[in-house]
Amino acid sequence: MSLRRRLLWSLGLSFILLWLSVGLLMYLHLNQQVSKTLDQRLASSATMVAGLIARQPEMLLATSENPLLLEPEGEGVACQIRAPSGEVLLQTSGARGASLSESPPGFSTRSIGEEKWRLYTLNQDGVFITTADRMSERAMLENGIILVMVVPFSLALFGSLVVLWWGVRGGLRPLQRLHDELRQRDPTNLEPVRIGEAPSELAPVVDTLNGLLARVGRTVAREQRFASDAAHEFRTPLTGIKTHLQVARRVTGDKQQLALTNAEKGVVRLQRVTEQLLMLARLEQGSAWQEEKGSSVNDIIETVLADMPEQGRMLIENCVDGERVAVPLTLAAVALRNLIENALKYSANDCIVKVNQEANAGLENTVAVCFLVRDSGGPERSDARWPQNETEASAPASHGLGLKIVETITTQYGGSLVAVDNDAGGMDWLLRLPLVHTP
Amino acid sequence: MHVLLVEDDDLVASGLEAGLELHHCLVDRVRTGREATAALASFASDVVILDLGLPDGDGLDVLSHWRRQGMDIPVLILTARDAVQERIRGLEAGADDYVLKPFELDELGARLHALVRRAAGRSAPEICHGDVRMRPSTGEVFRGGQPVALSRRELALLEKLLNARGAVLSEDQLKDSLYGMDAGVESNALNVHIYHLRRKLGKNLILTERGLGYRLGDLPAPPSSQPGASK
Repeated sequence: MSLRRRLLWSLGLSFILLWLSVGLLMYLHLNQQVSKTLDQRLASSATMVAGLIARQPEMLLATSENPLLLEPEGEGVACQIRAPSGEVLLQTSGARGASLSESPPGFSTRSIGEEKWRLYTLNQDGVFITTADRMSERAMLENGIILVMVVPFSLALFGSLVVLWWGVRGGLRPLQRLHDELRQRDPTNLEPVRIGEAPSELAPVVDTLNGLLARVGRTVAREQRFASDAAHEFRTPLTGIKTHLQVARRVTGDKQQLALTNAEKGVVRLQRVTEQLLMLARLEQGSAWQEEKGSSVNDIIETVLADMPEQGRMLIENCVDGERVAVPLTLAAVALRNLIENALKYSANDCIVKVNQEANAGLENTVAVCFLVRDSGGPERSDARWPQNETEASAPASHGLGLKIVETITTQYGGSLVAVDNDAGGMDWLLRLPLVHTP
Repeated sequence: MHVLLVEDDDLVASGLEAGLELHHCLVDRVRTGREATAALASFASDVVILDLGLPDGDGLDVLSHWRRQGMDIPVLILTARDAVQERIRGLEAGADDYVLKPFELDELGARLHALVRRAAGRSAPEICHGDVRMRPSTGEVFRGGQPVALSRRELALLEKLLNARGAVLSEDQLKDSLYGMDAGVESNALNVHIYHLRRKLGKNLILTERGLGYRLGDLPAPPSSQPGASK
């Protein structure tokens, strides 16, 4: 059941119960008051007759001939005046003399014939004055009162329910808009939720939801970019291999050998991309290299040099001797090698690597070793835009696989990676790795 | 057919160059969008193969720039971006075809020939002129029903003239189709190829318009009309 329906039901039922209770109490009280008033009317009538008799006693002397007080008697109060002997001195025509005669002093209710009567008998110096009302007339009066009370009461109740429905509907309209917006929303839609002006209670919900959607959107975009980059890095060598193999199948001699050699180069590249992806997967799993606690800077450089094919294009200046960084040797070497490879790929000149110790590196562990990898740019880099699949200005957020691995390593081991433009038209990549903590 | 290949990856580019030569294409390769724009400004190419992930920017931006400049050369996008949205973006940016890496060389060659054919206003895969028939996708040429062996440059020259449908083509236009970015071509190289074509297909095949260039000459009609012939 919806919140609005639940609210309408609970408030509506409460309204109805309250109004009915109040109405019932009012009715009972009014009924009691009416009965009391009618009884008082009977008593007043009897008292008034008694007063008349007291002032004009001769009224009782000529009654034997015609005891009828009123002719004809219809509705209203019936009256009977009896002598102490029980003789009826005067009476209204409708009053059943015999029956009224037996009434005791005070109020009583009696059935006379087919009708019920309300009686009041007053003893005035031995003369009994009885006044009576038909109960049916009283019932009619009570029904009239009920009718008069029920119509405005019902209108008020109905009006209250309408106002309640309108108020709840209006009050919960922002919630309904949010409900409609979310229900009609495509699951893949990550646009912000818009429900117009949200009330203060709902605004934090909408803001949080939109913040979450924005974060999900950024994550999805990052993942899509990474998937796109990875697909590009996979498909490029694969395309080279496939194309050269197709060529090799159709040519002979030196051309065939050249095509096969190129295809082999593609296989090596593909192998490297695959290894990078596997390394990234292991890194993100977080279970590998847990046993390696740190590595020396000298070992890192030595390992990188041993792997690099273009050592002649590298100028390494190591100002740190014997220091150990809190990153496993394998990963530190991979990170540095990826940066150097990236620099060599997009640099017309040599790649310069400087290694320094920094006292205030901005990391959690303030002392760090900084590997500066500098490329001088090249003809392709002299343009305003940088290669999309490797660097995007100075924000290392959307790189290829190699830099993604470097980012993951720095994130996991408390390091950092920053890219800044240098004077040579290229970029300086600053890889900071924290030193091993020595107690 | 002259192809301008815009591809930054050496491995892929070398494979494409070798593969397209087998499909009777003359290929000039550039690495960046800026080089491609400069190349198109300096010589006429029949079709462009455009990679999207270029070192100096997105290939789509380069393509949009070309289209805004009024360049109507057929462009085939060759990329690893396989998302449907990317393909739509590519075609909406002005590409005439979109091929994913890796690809089949035969399919790529066929698509390139189809692009050039459509750009020349032809629907049939075969071009006929008099008793000369040429099938550009296979590099086959027949004269009077007999096959004639032509070199790649002779094929390119013949295709260019046939696609011009009798219009006069300047020496520069013809040299562009044959040599593209190769600036070191000898001055009489074009004349040599024209001489060979005349020798193999008839001296009236190519007429010299003094001071203007060359155009197709009238040839004797074939013994029976060829289906799909276009002239």
